[in-house]
Amino acid sequence: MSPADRDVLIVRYLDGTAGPDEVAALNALLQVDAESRALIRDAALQAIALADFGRSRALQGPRRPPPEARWNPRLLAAAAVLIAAALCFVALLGTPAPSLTLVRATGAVTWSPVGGLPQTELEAGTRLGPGTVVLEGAQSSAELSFKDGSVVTLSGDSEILLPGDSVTRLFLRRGSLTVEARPQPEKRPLLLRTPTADVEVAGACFSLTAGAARTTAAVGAGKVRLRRLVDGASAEVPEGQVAVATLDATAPIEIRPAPVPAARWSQTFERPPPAAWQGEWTPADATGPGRLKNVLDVSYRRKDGTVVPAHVVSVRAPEALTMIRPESVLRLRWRARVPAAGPMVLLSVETSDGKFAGNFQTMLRTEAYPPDANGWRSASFPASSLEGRYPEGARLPPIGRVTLVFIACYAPNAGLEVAEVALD
Amino acid sequence: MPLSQETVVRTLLAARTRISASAWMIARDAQAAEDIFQNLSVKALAGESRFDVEAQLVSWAHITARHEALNWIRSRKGRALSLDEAVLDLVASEGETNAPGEGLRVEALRGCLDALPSASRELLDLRYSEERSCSDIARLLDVGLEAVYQRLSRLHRALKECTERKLST
Repeated sequence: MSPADRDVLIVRYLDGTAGPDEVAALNALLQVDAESRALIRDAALQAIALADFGRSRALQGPRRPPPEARWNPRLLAAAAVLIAAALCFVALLGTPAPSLTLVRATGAVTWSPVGGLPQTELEAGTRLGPGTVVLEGAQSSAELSFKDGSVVTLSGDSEILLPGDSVTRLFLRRGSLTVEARPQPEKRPLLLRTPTADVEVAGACFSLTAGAARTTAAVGAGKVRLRRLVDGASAEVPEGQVAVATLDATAPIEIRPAPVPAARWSQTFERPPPAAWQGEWTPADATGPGRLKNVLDVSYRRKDGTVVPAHVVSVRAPEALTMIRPESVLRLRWRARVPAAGPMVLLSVETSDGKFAGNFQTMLRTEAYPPDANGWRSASFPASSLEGRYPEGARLPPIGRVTLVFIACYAPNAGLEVAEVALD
Repeated sequence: MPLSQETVVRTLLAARTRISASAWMIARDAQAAEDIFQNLSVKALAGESRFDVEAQLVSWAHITARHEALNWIRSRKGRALSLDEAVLDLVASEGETNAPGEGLRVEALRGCLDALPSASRELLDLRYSEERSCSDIARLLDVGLEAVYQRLSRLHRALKECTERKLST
């Protein structure tokens, strides 16, 4: 084997494309050839160093937490020392120019710059360098813009890591976001990574939802390329299609038409609802029909990091629950232990081509909806009466898609229960 | 007397690139290598093993990184093959014994990278900063796959030689 062939074999092994015979040949070579061993060792060092440089010195990728039982206080303190030291270590290598700007944020949004303290009260226009943005709570949202005008809107419990370098690249560790990507330079597409997929965007509107084992990309306009990390399989996802990447390499990447949201939608709780619902299911009894009791969720964090909770019943559906028009009518049947705790109803809406249109909300005044003998109240009101609060003054699109229904009370011990929610 | 936590942290950070490289050589995934380094750091700090001298800790870290990387790659269906463990041990053991200061090597490498033509740097960035596969790069740059392999192999060798030159002067 010539030196050039040997060097190419090492590169092919490192690329993961060497076949069994080639790997066997490389094993044999490395056993007897010190120069080859030095070369592959150095190539690995170069790869790690380049990854560090190129990721703008940010610590990369999802962290797998150690087993819970091992998080004793002593270990936590020690781990904190290590992580802080690691952050300082990589920060010492230099801080690149920020490439993202916070346009607006609502709810519990925490920005943790590399080497800096977490920040919870974020102002519009904050420049984001390397670090992590964490959203907590179903109604939280943050809009970020790239230098080229491309916009990323994070929603719900989500976390992204920003490398912060000139490369348009984000890591969505978990949660959901929508992207309005301007046309990207040739050969330099916007790249998003999740735990299970890379998404390459030349210019498109799409939503991305990621967990530890599954990524769903729904393309509203344009197209994206999705590459499954488990085996490198990739597929182009055109407009109007949804693609799913999992850890299962035995099946092709699932691509299917995006479901058309129903024009009318109603959810009751005579049976346990789908898992996407946030709430504690209670079957029908003498005091009422089947219902969801609130759970406590993060509403926002104060400057000192302490949490303000909300009593919440909600559902998030990145592929949309239902259509909405300004003339649509929203119906809600609920009761609360604290009658004065009129619930807030919030809908998150996308345009028909997948762009984030805004959060629209109203606070129901309980005195306007008298209770029945068991305390249940029924409200019915037009969608046009919802206020666009995020962004401020947003208007419902002529035809939109509802991706979040969020019903919450903020009074302590509110005891919110929801028996029906519908959009006609 | 076991090493203090401060010494464990300092020692691991000083050897971080090499330890991560041990894992990367098997996993060929920078994110996995980083996770493995952090996991083994937590294990070291948790006191699961006792370390009396720094060399013992570094050796343990390299071995643990290799084992965790092998476990990681075995858990991934459809992943590429890895080298034999005996070969990996041999490659790593020479790296430990022949290693100059890691900070110096990284600094030398940075200097060598700065001196590369922009097209070469772009290729390396695509492969290792953006973690694109060679076939992706071939498609992006509109060149043949074999050309990507050859250019990368030449760059690895050139960077190795450049780094060693800088370290020897």
